[in-house]
Amino acid sequence: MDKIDFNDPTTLAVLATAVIGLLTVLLLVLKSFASSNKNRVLFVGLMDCGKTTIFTQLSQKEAEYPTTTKTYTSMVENKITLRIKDKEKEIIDYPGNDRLRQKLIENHLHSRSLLRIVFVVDSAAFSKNARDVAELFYTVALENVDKVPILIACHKQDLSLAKTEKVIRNSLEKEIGLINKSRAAALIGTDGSEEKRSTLTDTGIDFKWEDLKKQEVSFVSTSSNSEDFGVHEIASFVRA
Amino acid sequence: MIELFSIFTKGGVCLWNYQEGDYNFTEAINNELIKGTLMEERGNSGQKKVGNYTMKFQLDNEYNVIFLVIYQTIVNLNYAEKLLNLVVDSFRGEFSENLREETALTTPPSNIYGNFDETFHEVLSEAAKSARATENTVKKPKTFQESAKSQKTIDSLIVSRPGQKNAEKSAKNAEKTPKKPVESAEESSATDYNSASPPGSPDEEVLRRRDQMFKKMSGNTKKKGPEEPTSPKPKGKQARVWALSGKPADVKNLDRSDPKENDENAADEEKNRFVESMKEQIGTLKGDLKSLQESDDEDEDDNDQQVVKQSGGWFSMIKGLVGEKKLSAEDLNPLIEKMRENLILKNVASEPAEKICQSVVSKLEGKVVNNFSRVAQEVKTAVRESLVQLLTPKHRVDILRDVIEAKRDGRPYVIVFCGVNGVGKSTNLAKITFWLTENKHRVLIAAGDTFRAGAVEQLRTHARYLNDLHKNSVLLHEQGYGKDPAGLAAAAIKKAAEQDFDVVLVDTAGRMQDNEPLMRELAKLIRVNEPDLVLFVGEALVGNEAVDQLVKFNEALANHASPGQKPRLIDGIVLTKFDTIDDKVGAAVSMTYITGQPIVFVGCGQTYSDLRNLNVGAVVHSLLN
Repeated sequence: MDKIDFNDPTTLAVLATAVIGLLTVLLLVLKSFASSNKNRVLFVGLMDCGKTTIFTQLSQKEAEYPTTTKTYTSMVENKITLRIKDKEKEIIDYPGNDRLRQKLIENHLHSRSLLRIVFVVDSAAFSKNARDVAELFYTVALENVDKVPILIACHKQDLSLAKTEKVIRNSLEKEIGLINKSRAAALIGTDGSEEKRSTLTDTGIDFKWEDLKKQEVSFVSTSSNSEDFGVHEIASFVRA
Repeated sequence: MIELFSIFTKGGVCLWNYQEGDYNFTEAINNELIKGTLMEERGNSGQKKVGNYTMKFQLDNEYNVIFLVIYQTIVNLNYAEKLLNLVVDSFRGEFSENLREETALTTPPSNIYGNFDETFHEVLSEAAKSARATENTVKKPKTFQESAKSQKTIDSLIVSRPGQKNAEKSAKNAEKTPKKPVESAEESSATDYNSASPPGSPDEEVLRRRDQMFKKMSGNTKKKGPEEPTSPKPKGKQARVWALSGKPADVKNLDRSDPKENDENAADEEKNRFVESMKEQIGTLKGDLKSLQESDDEDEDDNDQQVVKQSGGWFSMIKGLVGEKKLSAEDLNPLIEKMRENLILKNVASEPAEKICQSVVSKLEGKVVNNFSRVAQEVKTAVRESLVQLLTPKHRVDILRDVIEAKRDGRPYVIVFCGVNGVGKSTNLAKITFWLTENKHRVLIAAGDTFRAGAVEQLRTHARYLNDLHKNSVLLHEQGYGKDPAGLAAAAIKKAAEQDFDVVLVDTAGRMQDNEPLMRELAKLIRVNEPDLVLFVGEALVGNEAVDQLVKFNEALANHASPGQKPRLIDGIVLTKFDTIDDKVGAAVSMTYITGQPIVFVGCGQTYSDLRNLNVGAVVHSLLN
């Protein structure tokens, strides 16, 4: 009886179908679990502002000062899963290269798994990069669909050229106002849609940080080389 | 000799470093290698020259690691590639577990990889020794040459017999394919030499036959080249035969070369050097092939370990059962060939299409994927990502914001339009003027096309229309025809500064890229006036001509720049006549690839409002369907 059943092609087909069905159900269940969980913390910023260094310091059990990990410009994202207070969090260090901006928007800013964003600013190079920093912050704040909290880390405070947190805060405010204006006047895309690009706030050039009502933005001063500044505030923000 | 040897992940974490001297290469690596080469889809060559230094690098796509060696170019480190291969094998073998788990993210890399110092020095001395051994073999012929001077006849007779024996051996052993061309050529040369040796023969005939011999040798060597890939397959047999027959063959080859060297002339010496360099290359290929075999062995071991470790979870267990495979060039090449043809069909120029596909192959080769993934899907995804990355601007492009910045500095923002004839420079200049005036900026147009009949009248008409649309917003600065465009632009900029215009748009005459005087004139205009933006206007209908146009425009700007200063090249592209091409949007990829600069504006019609931003997603979608 058993022998006849196994040789029967109909029986084999039924068994195969059942196995495939079970696997499909299993995959769907796993997928739904993964997508419903908010557990991502995203590090963004311009190139060479210290994101990867901060990322490695946070990933180590005890952050070391000054950091001995040497880094180059990232080409792909670094990702690690940490268990914090019985909750697993996925920490992502995304490269600041402009070429990868499109993927940042599609894969992370439009994602529903995003919990918090750490926006890293190179305080020492802020004078010449102010417009680029503001442009990236504008994109991050605008495209983030869930309006999660954003921590702006004024990094590399140990360098003598570093701008203070207050200066960076005020400069960014002005720059974002100007971007509000130029975004409203931007040309439409080649995909044929007649929709004008949306702006961050309706206040145009008179942007204030208070205008970001749904989105919580805070500033901290940090450094990977000096323990006086350290990355403690970033760690607290990530672990909260 | 080696300035720096560095191993770092694509995520940017430096795993291990070895450096002689104090020069800081971090900025050069970041800017020239990572941003300028790897992020621009130009990383398939494995080599980059920066100033006085040469960088050789190798990508490991399985663990996303980059191996980099930097040395001074004048040193000409001929074993750099071999060193890279040896270090790749050693490092992977020693730290495969740490690499797979990315331990460097949670532990300082020096704690994990610090032990590699010893291994590296061993590998380095090994590579240096083999390089010296290669050099030493070159010296031996002199010794034989001197000792054999007085015994020409006897030596020639002895040489012919071992040659015949070698021929028989080579027939039996297929593994000796790389050396066969040299031996067969020498056999034919020996025969020729004997037949040409009747007493009293003139020297001219001898020279002719030697020329024929060298031609045959070079011809045979080239023809045998494609057969090289077959040799890695019988790895065990190849190693044994080489070990047994290597030394005697070398000695006999050296013996055979003695009589010819005695009768050498200057031309013959040069050809001998050529042969020696060819021999060195043959050895180089062998080394590469062997390392590939070794890496295959190691990967099999890795896969076994992976299966064991992945059994922790249900999903991992399923993955482990399904198994994984490693992408190789054989898997990728047919698919990438189809992709290349598809891109060319969509009007991408052939040279960028070829290079983009090769870059994708170099990224995917060696990557480990599970059998759930179809290779075709992997290739398509990789090409899509490469195209999106290529078309995305590599720096911020916000003209309205920069105009405000220039105004704050107390000067007008200057844009120069250049391009070949008939692409729509003046028309799109008018569109951009309309866009700027819509945003409350006052624009001065410089009629820099002082050659084409009707150019000034055309701009005058546009200026009148645009002033009707926005009162008192546009002014045309013209000096008629036959004037110097550089001087005219300078006068326009001065006038704009005096009369508080926000933007100066400089029109230029169309010119073919091969017209040397006109290209020099354009370079002068840009050098003298130092514009904020140099826009190349190209039409979307262009095909392979885009490569020639942009290369030569940039070349002209570079060649005629002020001595000692960094040349000012094309900053952006205006793509015109976009409405005429339907889905054949490949010109965007061609132009972006050649210049590395973004497409700032897209013109898609005749009216002033037919001006767009390039939508990267839509373009890539059109290209891949």
